[in-house]
Amino acid sequence: MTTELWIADTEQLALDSQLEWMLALLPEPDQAKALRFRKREDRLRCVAGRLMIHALAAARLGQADVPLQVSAYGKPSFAGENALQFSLSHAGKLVVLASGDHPLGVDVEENRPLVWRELASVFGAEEQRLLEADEDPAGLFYRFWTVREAFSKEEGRGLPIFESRDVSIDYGSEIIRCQGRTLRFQTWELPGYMLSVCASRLGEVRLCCLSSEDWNRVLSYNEGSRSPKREEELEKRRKETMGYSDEMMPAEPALTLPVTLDAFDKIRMTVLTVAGDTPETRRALLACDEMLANIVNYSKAESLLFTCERLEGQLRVQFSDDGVFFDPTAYYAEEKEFESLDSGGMGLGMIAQIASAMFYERKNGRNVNTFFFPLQNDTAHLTSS
Amino acid sequence: MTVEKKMEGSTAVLYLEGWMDTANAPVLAQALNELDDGTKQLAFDMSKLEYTSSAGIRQIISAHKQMNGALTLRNVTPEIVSVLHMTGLDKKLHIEQ
Repeated sequence: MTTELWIADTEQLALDSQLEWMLALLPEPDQAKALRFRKREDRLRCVAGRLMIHALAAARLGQADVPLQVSAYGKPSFAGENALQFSLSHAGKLVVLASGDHPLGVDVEENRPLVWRELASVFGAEEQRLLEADEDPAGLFYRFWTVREAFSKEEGRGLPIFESRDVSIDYGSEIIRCQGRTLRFQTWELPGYMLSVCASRLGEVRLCCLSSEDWNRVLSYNEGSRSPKREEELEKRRKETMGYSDEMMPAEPALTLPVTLDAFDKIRMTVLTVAGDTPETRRALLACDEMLANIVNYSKAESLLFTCERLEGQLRVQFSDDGVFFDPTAYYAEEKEFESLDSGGMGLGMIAQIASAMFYERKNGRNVNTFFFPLQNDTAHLTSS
Repeated sequence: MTVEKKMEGSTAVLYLEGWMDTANAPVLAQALNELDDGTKQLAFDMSKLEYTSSAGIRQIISAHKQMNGALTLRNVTPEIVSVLHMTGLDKKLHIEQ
């Protein structure tokens, strides 16, 4: 059993410029709902969230237009007989869709400076004591808030009304006990945001920050007319990406590498052994070099695992590090002036150009980055066909 | 990687050889530090440079800045050109054909 969290950063994905077009992809009731928002940013988050829900239905239930039902408290869910549950939350630039087999709640909040004391009264006595004792209580405040909000959303209630009820939250073991129920939760501190998810059973939790390629897939799922061939192609891509961590775990045992730049020698030997010394391999090595440099210089990781194998004419490479959360697929290369070309980000830009596909996952406290590199020049293939 | 310096009149030519990967790029930084203050023209001969990463590219940019643009790249192999192209530097640096 898995709980999956899709995170869309509307700014990084540059969704604002596509708002009108994305709105047109939605069924009419959703369009009407979105148009009730007067502020463009609110409308954008609503549209993005709805597109993600339909994409989830298409990916997991086989059709994008599964009707939604709304509970008395306003919690939406898929109508009909199916086990697929979801919860949606947005804050700032982020839209987060959580899904799994059990009712669940997700909440994301932007870490803003706040007068937390005015709001702290919703918490229990123990949480208030911890907040008073903490030197920088803002982070703690958002942690408490998102956990409680995720819990109330799991229950299908609108607002985090807590103190009146018998709720006991163990933040260390990430367990909530309330009126005979036991629930699990998990919290992530993303750059500028706090995110919590809560369910009676969470299983393995996959955090997936949607890349622009993932987003295109979300849009494809929402496109009305699909030819069977396109459907086939979409299904293939879905298998390749969303379910890839189960089906495509590396067959080769991972190499344990020191988190130093010297580890590149070992990477180089491994890649050259697996794929031979060709211009394509060298380009793949360049991307590996850049990825290693990023991990060594910025991640604060202490453990690094590396795997590399040939897979259907491609080279598949995976880096797994236990460093701070960092999703390179969320990085967008922008054209820079010469003067600032060496200011950073150049390596990531190069990786994005070399890799034919890249996937990021935060899994068990590790950044897992998987890259696919083309191995032979496709020109011969193109001219012969 | 190795860096060897030869003077051609008033131009200092650095012959770069081997792999300028992230771990090795400081070798070039060192060579740049050791240039005479009076050096007016600098050239990198890259015929034997097999590989460069962004760390190497940063050294090239840094040399370009240090020389106020008086830097020429010579005998650049197609592999290295493709890396320069990826970063947009092929249009901004003086590359001898």
